[in-house]
Amino acid sequence: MKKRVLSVLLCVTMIAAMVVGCGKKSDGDGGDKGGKKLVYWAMWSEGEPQAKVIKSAIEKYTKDTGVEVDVQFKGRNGQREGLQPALDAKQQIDLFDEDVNRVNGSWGKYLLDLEDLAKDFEAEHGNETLYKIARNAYAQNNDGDETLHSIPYQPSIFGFFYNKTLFDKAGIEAVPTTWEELDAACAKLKDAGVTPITGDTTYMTSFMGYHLGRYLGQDGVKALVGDPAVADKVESGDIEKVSWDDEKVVQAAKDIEDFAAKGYFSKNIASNIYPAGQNQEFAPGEAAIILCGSWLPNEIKVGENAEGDDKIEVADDLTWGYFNYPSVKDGKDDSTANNIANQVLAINKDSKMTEEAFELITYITAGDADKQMTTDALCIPADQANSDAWPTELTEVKPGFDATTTYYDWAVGAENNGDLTPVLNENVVKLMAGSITADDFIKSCKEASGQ
Amino acid sequence: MSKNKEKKVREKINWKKEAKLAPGYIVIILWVLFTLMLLGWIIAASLSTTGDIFAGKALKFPSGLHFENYIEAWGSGGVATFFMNSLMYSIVSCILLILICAPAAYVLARFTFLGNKIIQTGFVSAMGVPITMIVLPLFCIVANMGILNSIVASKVTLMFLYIGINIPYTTIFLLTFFANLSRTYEEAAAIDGCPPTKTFWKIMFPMAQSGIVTVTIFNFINIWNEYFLSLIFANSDALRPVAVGLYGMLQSMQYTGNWSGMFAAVVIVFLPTFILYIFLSEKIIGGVTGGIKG
Amino acid sequence: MKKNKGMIVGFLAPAVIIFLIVFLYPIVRTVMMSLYKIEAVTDTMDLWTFVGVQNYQKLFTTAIFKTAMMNIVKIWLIGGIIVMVVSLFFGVILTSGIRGKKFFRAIIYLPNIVSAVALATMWLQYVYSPKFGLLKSVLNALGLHKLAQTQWTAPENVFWALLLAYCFGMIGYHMLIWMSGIERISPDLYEAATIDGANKPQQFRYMTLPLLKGVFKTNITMWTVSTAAFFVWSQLFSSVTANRATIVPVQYMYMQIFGAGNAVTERNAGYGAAIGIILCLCVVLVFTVCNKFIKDDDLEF
Repeated sequence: MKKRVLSVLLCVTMIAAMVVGCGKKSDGDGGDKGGKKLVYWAMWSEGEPQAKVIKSAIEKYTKDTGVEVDVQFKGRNGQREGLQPALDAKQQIDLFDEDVNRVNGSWGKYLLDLEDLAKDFEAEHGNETLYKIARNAYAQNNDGDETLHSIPYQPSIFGFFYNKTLFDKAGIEAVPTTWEELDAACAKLKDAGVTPITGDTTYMTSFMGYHLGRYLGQDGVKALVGDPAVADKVESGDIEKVSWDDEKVVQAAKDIEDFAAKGYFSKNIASNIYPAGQNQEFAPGEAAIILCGSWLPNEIKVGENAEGDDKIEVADDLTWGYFNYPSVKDGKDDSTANNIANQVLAINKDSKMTEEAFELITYITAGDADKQMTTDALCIPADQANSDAWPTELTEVKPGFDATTTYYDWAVGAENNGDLTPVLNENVVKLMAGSITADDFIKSCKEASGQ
Repeated sequence: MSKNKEKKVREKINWKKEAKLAPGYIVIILWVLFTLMLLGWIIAASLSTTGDIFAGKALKFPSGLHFENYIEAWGSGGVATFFMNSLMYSIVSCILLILICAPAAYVLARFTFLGNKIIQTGFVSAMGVPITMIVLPLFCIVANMGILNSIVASKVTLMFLYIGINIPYTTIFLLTFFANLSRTYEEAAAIDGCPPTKTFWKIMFPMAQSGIVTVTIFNFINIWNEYFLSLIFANSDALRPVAVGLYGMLQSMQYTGNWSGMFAAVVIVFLPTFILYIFLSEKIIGGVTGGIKG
Repeated sequence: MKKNKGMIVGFLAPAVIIFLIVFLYPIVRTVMMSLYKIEAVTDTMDLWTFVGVQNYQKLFTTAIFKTAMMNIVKIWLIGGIIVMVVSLFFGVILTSGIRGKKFFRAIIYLPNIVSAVALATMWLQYVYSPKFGLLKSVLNALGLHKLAQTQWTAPENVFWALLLAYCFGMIGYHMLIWMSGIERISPDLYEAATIDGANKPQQFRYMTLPLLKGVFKTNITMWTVSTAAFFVWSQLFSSVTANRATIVPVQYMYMQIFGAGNAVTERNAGYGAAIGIILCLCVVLVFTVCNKFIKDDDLEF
């Protein structure tokens, strides 16, 4: 019997060996043909509108140039977990995309210098703001080297979206630009029986990040939370040290406490796990203001469209409005400093088809595909030739976007210290729900950061 | 033999016996109802609309049934390939796992020899090491060997890895089942002149069937749903199992806020596992029991 | 015994060889990595910076890691007791000869094969919803209006909400293990006991329980292993980044290896590896303790 088992195992091994052997042969054939194939790892998942737009752009590209493209839709997590191992193992990946800071930061060493390749393209199509951000992202992580290593597309901005209909109902005439004006607007909304502000816990660290950023500036926030990336600069004094006792920090916490006490935040604010706030409170018109990224209208639109004709979820009279995070009294930054992010496409420096890869990038990030992104995924156009193609839902975002001159990181850097973020997020949410006071908030944060 | 018993019960309801079991029935039925309600909600949500889900009306279908969610979820190309891949990976790996692990578990449970405890502890500690730390370095080795450029070689590699990462689990699981079997069977077989290897396959292996079936079910579902390993290793559509194929779908539905579509994708992922689970547990139990008798 | 030697080697060899191929290198590598500062898991060794036991030192002084460890211990202990007791109870009921056993077994096991993403979404958006949740309606129907107002997913309650949802899903799995153990006990034993006048609870206390010792050990080992890898549920119950109430070590490790949430945070795979090693040691510890206290070879049947 033992022999039988052994022979079975042997057989299996033999078959496996044969299969592998055969595989290797066929691999040779495939390899030759595969030489003319571009491999593109995309951050989207099959089925997302962005993926559909990219697919049609690739079709057009293949038709025009005859170069085949093997596109792998990896999704955000797939890209984050799998791209670097694959690059390290020298798998053929000619181009890939992800968030501008991750591509230039985490994967900076794999990127091809695009300065020459992209010269003409940038002059013709490039949006100045976005290219500046892309260069800056590379510089931040590579000793100030400001050469272009990635091509931006799909920009987004983070700020306050509001329901215009509800603002009209409450008699609010002008969009708030300062914290006091926001206070007044919220009071009117509350009087009109509308929940002034809602949001999902996911974005609430950003709320506090923005608020602190208005007082301290981004470097101040980073120093405050103890971002490891700026630790050296804080040490050397290039960036001023900020403690949780700082009167401006206390003031920021008090501002939020004040709003909570006045009942401006939704009573569900602490238990709104994404996407409960945006889908259950903002979309149906129960709450008037929400802090989110400019992808919000698309998320709500897709949810609405997926269900055919009967849309109960989104209020019929929802008209999209937007304003940048307001400025505060005696703050360092005003509402021209914002978190503008975008995706970028980059080329692997080991790629043997850099020119073909770059051409594909031009097909995806400019012209028709870019336009299609604005209609199908409600994106902000990246191609300056499409600058009038902003989706109607984002009309009010355009002035806010154009007015931005200082570029914040995600959450104004408040989430840059991974060890502190969980504590910070929990305490911000509690502060907004009114279950702790500003003093408690400061105390907890201080303890957690070991100050 | 259990079949016969059940038949008897079915023929004549022994009310006295049933009444004694009443508390048990009540508890189980309540729990099952609760489970069905939750899972029913998932199915209802998959036929509903995103709006209805978030308005708390998933069970009321104010806008009718939306089968298009399924069409949409199914619509992503290559689902049939993913299914065939998953089926092959799961079946081949499960069978080989039992053939490899059952003998090992038996030896570890029965015999004292140098290194027995070390092997056991090694297996257990391997289960404690996070999968990321195992999969990513392995990927680098395998990728540098150049295996990943061939479809067939990649498939063999994938199955080998599915087997490999499940060996500690399966072996440790089966250990107790062999440890608790009486030695009298082996002694009797030895007196009859049956060699120990034969004794194992003919007598002990079938006697551990309840454990073997259970662990095969777990393995099957594990491999069917395995995500991280497949995500890293299966870099082409021809290799991809259902989990990676449809979880991608699932994620995109989440990103785009198409929650009813996401639930439809969930149902598509879990239905085959469920059907196979029922099929597996019944068939294998039947088959093995038959085998002993014959 | 000489005969046995060949058998031992023959039976063990395939499993051990494959095990060594798949696990040895990664484990040794992980142990080494935990002594270095490394940016990405797949970085080659020349990019590693030796830091000695600094990673471990840092871990034990980092508040959030301690929180994560506390959370996982709570999940293991409290969740473990709940799951073991309930699943054993169900296993006993289902094997006591009730009708529709297969149906019940299938339904109770069902949550295990539904993707965690779907289950968690269901709990979050349906059961715990503060607007139209199942829990809210049930409590309101029972007249407990005050309790119905509870914000189940707010920071104060979310841990328990998570634990409950996770345990619900795990009960079927452990019930199957119990059942496979109970079913192996010969019915003749029970018949003999019944003839001797032992009632059901007595049979359970003096026969079933002692005979299930070995299976109990399996159950504990499996529970410990799955708890050590606990990750997806926490991630789904938190905001994009981890939450203090629900953070667990693997989640923290994930943040160290792949970065946390939307912000681009510092990555250190060596630090992550140290977390992995600590978890692995915990599993080995539980296993060793179990082996010490639960000897299964003194009972055979």
